[in-house]
Amino acid sequence: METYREVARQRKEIYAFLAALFREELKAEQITAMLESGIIERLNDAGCNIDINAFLDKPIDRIEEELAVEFTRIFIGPGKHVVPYESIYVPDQDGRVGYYWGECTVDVKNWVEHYGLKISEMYDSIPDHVSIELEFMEKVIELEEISWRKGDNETALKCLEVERTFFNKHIIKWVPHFCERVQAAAELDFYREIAGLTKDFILEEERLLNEERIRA
Amino acid sequence: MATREMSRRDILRIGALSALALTTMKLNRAEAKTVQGRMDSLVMGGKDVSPVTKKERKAIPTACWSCVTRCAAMGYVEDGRLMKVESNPNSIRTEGVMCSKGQSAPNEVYFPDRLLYPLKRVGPRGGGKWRRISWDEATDELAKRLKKLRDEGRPEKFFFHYGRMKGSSSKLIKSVFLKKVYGVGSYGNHTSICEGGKWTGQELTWGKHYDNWDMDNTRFVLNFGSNIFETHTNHIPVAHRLIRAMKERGVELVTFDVRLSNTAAKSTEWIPIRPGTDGAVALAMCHVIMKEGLYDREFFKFIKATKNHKASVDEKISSLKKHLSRFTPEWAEKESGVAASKIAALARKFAKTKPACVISYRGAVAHYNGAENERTIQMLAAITGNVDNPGGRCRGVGAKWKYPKPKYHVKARKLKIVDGPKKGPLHAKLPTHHVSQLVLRMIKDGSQGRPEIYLWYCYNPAYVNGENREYAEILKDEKLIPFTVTSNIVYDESSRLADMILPDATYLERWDWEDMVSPAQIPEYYIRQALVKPLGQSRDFADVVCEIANKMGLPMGFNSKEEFVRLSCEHTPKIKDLPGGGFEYMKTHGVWHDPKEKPHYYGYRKEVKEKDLKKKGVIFDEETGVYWNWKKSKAKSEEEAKKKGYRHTKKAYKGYVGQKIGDKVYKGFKPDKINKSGYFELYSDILEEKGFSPMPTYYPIPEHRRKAPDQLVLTTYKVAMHIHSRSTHRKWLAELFHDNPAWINPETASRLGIGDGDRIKVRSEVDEIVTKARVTDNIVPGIIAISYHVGRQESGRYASGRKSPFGRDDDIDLKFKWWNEYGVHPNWVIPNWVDPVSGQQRWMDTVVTVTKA
Ligand code: SF4
Repeated sequence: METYREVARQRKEIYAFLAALFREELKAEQITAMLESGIIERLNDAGCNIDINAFLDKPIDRIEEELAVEFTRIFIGPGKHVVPYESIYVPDQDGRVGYYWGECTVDVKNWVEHYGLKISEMYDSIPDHVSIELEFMEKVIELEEISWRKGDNETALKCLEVERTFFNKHIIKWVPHFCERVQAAAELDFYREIAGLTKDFILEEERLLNEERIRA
Repeated sequence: MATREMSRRDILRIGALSALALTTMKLNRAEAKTVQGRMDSLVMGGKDVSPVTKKERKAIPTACWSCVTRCAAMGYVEDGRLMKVESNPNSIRTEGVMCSKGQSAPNEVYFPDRLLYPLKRVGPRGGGKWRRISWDEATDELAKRLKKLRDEGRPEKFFFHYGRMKGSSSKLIKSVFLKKVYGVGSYGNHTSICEGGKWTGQELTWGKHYDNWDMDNTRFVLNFGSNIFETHTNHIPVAHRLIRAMKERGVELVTFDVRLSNTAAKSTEWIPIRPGTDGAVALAMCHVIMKEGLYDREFFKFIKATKNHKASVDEKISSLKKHLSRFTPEWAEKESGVAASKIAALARKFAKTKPACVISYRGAVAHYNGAENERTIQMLAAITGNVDNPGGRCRGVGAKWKYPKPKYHVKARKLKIVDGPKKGPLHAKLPTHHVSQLVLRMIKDGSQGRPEIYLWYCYNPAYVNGENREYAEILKDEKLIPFTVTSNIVYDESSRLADMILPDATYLERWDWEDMVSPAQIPEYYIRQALVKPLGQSRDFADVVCEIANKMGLPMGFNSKEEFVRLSCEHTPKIKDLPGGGFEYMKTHGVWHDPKEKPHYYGYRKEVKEKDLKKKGVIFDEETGVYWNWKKSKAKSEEEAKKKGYRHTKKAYKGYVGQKIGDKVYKGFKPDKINKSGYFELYSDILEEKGFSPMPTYYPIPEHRRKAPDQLVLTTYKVAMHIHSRSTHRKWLAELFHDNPAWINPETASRLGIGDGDRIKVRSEVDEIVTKARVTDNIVPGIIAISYHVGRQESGRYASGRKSPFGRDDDIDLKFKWWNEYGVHPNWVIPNWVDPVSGQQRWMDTVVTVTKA
């Protein structure tokens, strides 16, 4: 139980951060802020391998454009790209796989809505996008963290149960594989390294949520 | 692609950089996020989306009725069609869990053989010819016939017999219409073919029946013949708690059963036992506990274990020790086949693990000695102090609704056919829940009079009792019963013998308030609302009753069950003040419990207030130590009440106030139905007076003693995916279970020359069936076990292969139905007989001769 209490806040922030990076392209001012606050260095400290010089040599709108082109090429297309939706990777009960709006898509939407959350009206795509799944985790861990702080261990543990179930039912089934495909498809350091970081984090989460359980 | 293991420290570091990035890069703005809102509750459920259209379905809180547990539920409706039923996640009883029976609810509404029009027979009764009639014609005829009987002063010649009727349905039809308005006080129920003996055993010991098992707090569970993981009167609410207790807290469950049921299989230990001998094992456990001083001395204060109610705790203990001295584990081993050492070890474990819970059901009570077995099991709970305590066997608590009662002053008249014969081998001396399996026999006998109109509701007398052949013949005989009517959703073995069929609404198309016992020991109020309009011309029978009352000129003050439910919501304390009004609140939420209420435990320990003892009519009874209000009894005067005393005044228990113990007066264990004292009675004056042992004892089953060595005992059972006799028309359930070969132990089978899959003849003293054998180790030798859900002659194509009159062909799954075996019903060979104490039907006692067919 102690382990969970200690890392709840950080886990929440990581999910939020990764979700944001997969959600959409970074804007120029966001890239500037990233460079100014030393986030690239910190990412490298944490095991990434991003060539900082690739950022320093160029004007900011060039970087913005390069990253945006890379983002579109990897996740959106046209042409061969790495689809960021779960149902492309995870088969239905009858074994069908590789199409949009599969059983898992409906299930993700159900999870989100069952807990009184809502998918933004601005969002016009399908609910099993990687960033939505990561954001859902963030929301549950947020409640977990608040509950620990309030001393409401019961709710915190229930949150963990929800996290564990959702994670095992959805995220672990495809996100690591998805990340590997992003790593392979990436041409720039940034998305390749973020995908690697995501994968490592998700595998660590698997250990934490499933193995730690016994000790908790 | 290398994967690098992250350490906890990495997490902290990446967490910190993420936090920094989120703020500096403004990645955390609420409006930028796709998932919006905040997790405000962890309740899962209550919403559903169509997998085809992706549209959210309409969610309507309601209550299941597939079994008597009546779980709060949620129905999902799409374009007026019921698509799905799940649990209501806000229920403290179910906590969002639902069983397969509950989830098959849509089948109940749409099965193609459903009765959808009022029908009247053409030609001889049972000839199978019908014509459709209008509702007006049906209710006119019924109202006319009923009015005639009432006008002639013989309303009791209308005999109403129900299989299940609970909550508001029961109050509207039975308490209001039949008793108060129409004036008939005799009606048939079905408790004695279920678990009536268990209730009598409880009434004799702790008063009012219904035991809740506090799984959330228990540390050990001992199970005598309850198939709790597959079925139970409070199935899901208790079963899912027990599973949780086992998984999360490592609670052990030890099950005695003649068969490896799924409950036995999922228990920590299954202990095979000979049928009808549970009481012997429980007695021997009590023997060990008393002898080794493992009893809870404190609880003895509230126990009556001697004739004299003033006995000291030491006297009670020594009286019980003496009584139990002959019931040794070695003796019990000879009776039950359970090793003496096992009995002793379990007794010690049960007594030393605090709190522990002993549970029991039909495996222990549907016998000749059923009520007595329950009394013994109650004793086991009592002497270890596991009564009405957290984690023990508790007295059930349920919602207390107030409902409209029209003012009619009629004295209800009775037809004395509900308690069986007054003498002979079928006489039950204390049938506190009646003897419903003998109602048709009593009608045939005729000595107590016969009804002129026999109407059955949610009941299938020709299938659910024993001796089906005889009961169908009685029902068919127009000389015995001139007019037969049923309200039903399905054309079954009995509706085909009706003169008129009224198509009932299913529970998914009607209203009710409900009150089933809460395993949380906090009452839950909940309602059932109609999810969809009744299909075809079907109508809730309670609504039909309202119309008939109006046609007879006997208005009741409401015209439908929905109105009755609304009025109840507006009158029930606490409910009526809920935000938006009681009815609206209940319609929106489906369930309510008082969040401030604490679980009910130890009610017996409360002292009675001085002023309650001084109330008018309250007198003290020396013989029992009971304070009671004679005015609530049948006594005509105080003088008469005092002369007859508490025990011998009719309905004196209704005036029970408290029990004097030492110099204090306690609420004690309030009686119901019989004039028991406020003690937990292990010494029963009532039984003593009726010629039985006053202290819990063991009555061996006479037929088992007499049976020839190669004869077997037939026992029946339920499975997880069927509801008594009420679900074989549901295709999802029928697909899972539609055949019922007889289980037989390999040793027994080989002795009789029977191989697996052989056709066998099962013969009892009353009839004979031919079925298949399944040779399996999962049953003790000397027995055959046959499940009784299937073996239907009617109930439509999914159940029997037979199309019902006016059955439809519009169900696509009829094309995909792949099974054409429907099983064999065992009740044909089971006699309708009684536990001589309670009148309980002895389902598990039949001796049969089994041969290869
Ligand atoms: S336990 Fe009974 S009431 Fe509850 S869901 Fe199952 S069938 Fe329905």
